[in-house]
Amino acid sequence: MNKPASPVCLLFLLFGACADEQVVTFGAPRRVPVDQRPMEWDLPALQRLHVRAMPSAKPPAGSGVAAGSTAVVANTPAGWEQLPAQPGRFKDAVWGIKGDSESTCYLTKGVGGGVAFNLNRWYVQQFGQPEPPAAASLPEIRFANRPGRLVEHVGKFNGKEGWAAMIAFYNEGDRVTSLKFTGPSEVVQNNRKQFLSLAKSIRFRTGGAKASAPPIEPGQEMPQGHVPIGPGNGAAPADVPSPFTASVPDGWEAKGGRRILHHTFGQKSEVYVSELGGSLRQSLDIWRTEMGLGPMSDTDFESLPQALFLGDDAILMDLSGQFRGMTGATIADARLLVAARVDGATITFCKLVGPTSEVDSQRDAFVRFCGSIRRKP
Amino acid sequence: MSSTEANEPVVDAAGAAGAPAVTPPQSQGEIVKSALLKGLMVFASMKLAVVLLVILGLLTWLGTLAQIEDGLWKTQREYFESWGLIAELPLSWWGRELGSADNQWVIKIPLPGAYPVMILLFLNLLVGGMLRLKWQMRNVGVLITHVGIALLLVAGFVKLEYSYSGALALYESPKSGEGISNRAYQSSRFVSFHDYELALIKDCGDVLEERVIPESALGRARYGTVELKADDLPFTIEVHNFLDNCRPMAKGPMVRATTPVLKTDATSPGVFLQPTKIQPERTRNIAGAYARVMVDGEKEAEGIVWGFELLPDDSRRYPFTFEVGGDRYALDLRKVVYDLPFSVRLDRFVKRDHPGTIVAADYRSFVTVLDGSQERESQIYMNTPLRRDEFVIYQTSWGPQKGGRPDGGPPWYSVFEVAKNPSDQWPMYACFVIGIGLFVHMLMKLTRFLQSSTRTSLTS
Repeated sequence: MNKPASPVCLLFLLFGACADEQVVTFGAPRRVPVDQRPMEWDLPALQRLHVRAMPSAKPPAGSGVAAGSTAVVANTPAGWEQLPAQPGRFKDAVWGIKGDSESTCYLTKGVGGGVAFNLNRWYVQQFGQPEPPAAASLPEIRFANRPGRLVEHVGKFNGKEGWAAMIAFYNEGDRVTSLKFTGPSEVVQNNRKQFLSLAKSIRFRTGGAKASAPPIEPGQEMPQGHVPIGPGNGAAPADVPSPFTASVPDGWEAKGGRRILHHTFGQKSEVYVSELGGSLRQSLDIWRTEMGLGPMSDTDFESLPQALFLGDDAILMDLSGQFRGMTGATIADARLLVAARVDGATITFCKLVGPTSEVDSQRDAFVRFCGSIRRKP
Repeated sequence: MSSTEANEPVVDAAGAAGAPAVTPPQSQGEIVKSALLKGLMVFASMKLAVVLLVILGLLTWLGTLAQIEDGLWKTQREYFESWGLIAELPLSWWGRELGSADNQWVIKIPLPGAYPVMILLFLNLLVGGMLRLKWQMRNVGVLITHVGIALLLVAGFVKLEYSYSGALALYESPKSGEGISNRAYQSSRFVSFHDYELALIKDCGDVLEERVIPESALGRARYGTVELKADDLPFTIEVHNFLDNCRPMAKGPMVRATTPVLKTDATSPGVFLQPTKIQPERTRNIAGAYARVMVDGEKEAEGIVWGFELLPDDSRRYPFTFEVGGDRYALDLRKVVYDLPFSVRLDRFVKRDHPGTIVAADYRSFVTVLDGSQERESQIYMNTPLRRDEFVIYQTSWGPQKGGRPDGGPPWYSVFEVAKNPSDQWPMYACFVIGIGLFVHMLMKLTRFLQSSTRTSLTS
C-alpha cells in the first residue's frame, strides 16, 4: 500500500464501519439430505412461532367466524357422536355418547396460564383436591398429533359425587389445549379407550392465524366458573350487580358504575376488579408499561409472589413509578398493586393504583381484600 | 543448598536456571547482540513469569466473582478469551457490601485477558528454556518438563481456536413400535450451546441446498441492516432488528410493540418480537430477527426468524419460508448445526440415586452408534466418553429431572456434549511428558546427591 492511499483507505474503512447497512455474502452452498434437516414448510407465522393470536378487536364484517379460526377434525369413536361446537362457551368441538345425556366431551383450544395453572384449576377447583400433581408425573399420551398428558380423576367433580373426568392436554408455551371428558364414573371409565382414540385422532386445520374462540362479546354466555365479561376493557354494564362478594377494608368507599367491585380511598387511589384477554404475562407487561417500566424478564416473572384471589393462587405484582393510565390519568409518585390469575381464557385481576403515600398503608388491606373476594353462588 | 550444588546455575521454581553473566561489549556488533540478549532475557525472565502467574491468579479470582452475576459464558469471553478487560471488584466490609443495592462500590482494575497472558507465558517458557537454561545433560529433566508445560499451553490454544462443541439430546428409543413422530431418538447432528447462524435453505427435492451466515456477521443488524447476498441467488435478504433475547408475541389492542409488527393476514393485528432482558446464562437467551426478501429492489416477502430450539421433543425446525422464481426457500435462525459422520441412538438411560435421595449417584446412557450398515453398542457415562471419528461424546445431563420413568412418568432423555477437538488428548500427553521430565530430574538429583554423599563420607 503506498503512503497517500493509506489515509484514504482508513477513512473508507472508518465510514464503512459507521454505515447502517452492511453487505455480507453467504458461504458456499452445500447439499444435505432432507432427512438431515427436518423442518416444517409454509406454516402460518403464528403457528411456526408458537404464538397464539390475540382476539381481534373487530372481526371482519359478515364473516361469521373470528379471524384465524381453526377447524377441528377427528375420528368420532363408534357409539359417539359429534355435536355442534359452542365456541362462545370455549367448547371448540363437542362430542357425546349416543343415548347418554350426562356425560360430555369437549375440546378447548389454547387456554392461557400454562400447565401448572390449569392443573391447579382442574384438581383444586373442580376435583376438590388440595393440590395438583406435577405435570411430568402424569402419563404421556398422544393428543392432536402431539405429545400430551392425561389427567384421570374419579370421585368428586364440581361437587358431584361418583363422577369421573379424563382430560387430555398439551401446551404450547403458556397455552393449554385440552380435551375434557366428564360424566358418571362408570360411563367415563367404560369409554376410556374411545376417549384416547378420539384425542389421538384430533387435527387442526388452520384457516389463518390460530385462535381458540371468537372474540369475547358483551353479554356472551361464559363457561361455568367464568365471571361475565362486559363491554370495552372488561367493564361491567352500569348498575349491574357485581358477581363477586368481598370484605371491604375500612375507609374504602364503594363506587357504582361500570367497574366491578370498584372502590376508592384517599384522594386519588382506586381499586377494582376486571378482566383482560391475552396471556398473564402480556397483562403484567401492560401494567408495567403504565408505570413507565419495560417488559419483565423471565426471572422477574418467575419470582413474582403469590396471593390469594378468588379463592385461589394468583400472581401479586407490586410496582412503583410514574403512573400513566390508558385513560390518560397520571400520578407522579404512584404505586400499583395487582393480583391477577388466569381464569379460563381471560385474565381476572384486582388492581389498586394510587399515590405511594396513600397506597403504602393499604397494601396489607389490599391483600386481605383480594383474599376475601369470592364469586357469588 | 549443598556444597556440591554451589557451582551449579541457580534453578528457580519453574526449573529455569539463573541468568548467565554478560561480558561488557567490545564492538558495535557485540553491543547490538548484547542489547538483544538483554531484551530477550527480560522477556525470558523469572520476574515476568511471576507477574504473569499473578495476573492469571487475579483473573481467575475476579472471573470467579464475576461469574456469579454475569454467568459462565460471558465471563469466559471477557476474562479468559479476550485481549483485555476492566475487571470490577465489588467492595465489602466484613461480608457487607459497601454502597447501595443499585450503586455498589467497586474498584475497576484494567487487566490483560488470560489469552495474551498465556501466550506470553508460553513464550516466556520457550525463550526462558532456550536462553536461561543450560543445555546440559543434567538439566534434561527440566527441559522435558518445560516442553510438557508448553505442550499444555499449546493444547489450550488449539482447543480455543480450532475446536467446537455442542449438545445432543436424545429420548430413549421405544422398545416396540415407532415411537412419537418428530421426537429425537437418534441423530447424526448436534447443535451449538450458544452460537446462532442464519441458514438459507433451498428446497431441491430429495436434498436441500444450504448456506449459512454466522451470527458474528449479523452484528450490524442489531442497530441497522445487514444485506445478505450470493452471486447465484435471484434475491437479497435484509436482516434488521436482531435481538439477542426475545419472544414472538401477537399484537393485541392493548399490547405495545417496540419492534415492527408484521401482519400475518388481512384481519389479524399481527405479530412482533418482544425484546426481553438478556440473561447472564446465554443458553436462556433466544435470538430473533426480522428478514426482508428483496427482488430487484422490491420487497418480495417479510418474516420473523426466531431461534427457539425444541430438541429433543421436536427435531423439526420452523423456518420463515418464501418462494422466488418458482423455487422454495426457508430462512432459519438456529443454533449452529454440526453434522456427524455417524448416527447415535439412545437405547436406554439408567439413573441410580444415592439411597433415600433423588441425587444421582450414577447415570449412564446405553447407545448404539450406526455407521452405514455397521452398528456398535456402547456406554457413555461420567468420565467415560465415546470417542469416534475425532468426535468425543460426553454424558452431561438428562431429563426430565423430576418424575421420570421410574415414577410412571415420561421416558428419559439423555443429554450429551459432543466435541471435536484436535488437541483432545494433548493435555494427557503433556502430563505424561511433565511427569517423565520431573521423574528424570528427580532421578538425576538423587544420583548426584548419593554420589556426593559417598564422596563426602570417603573424604571424611
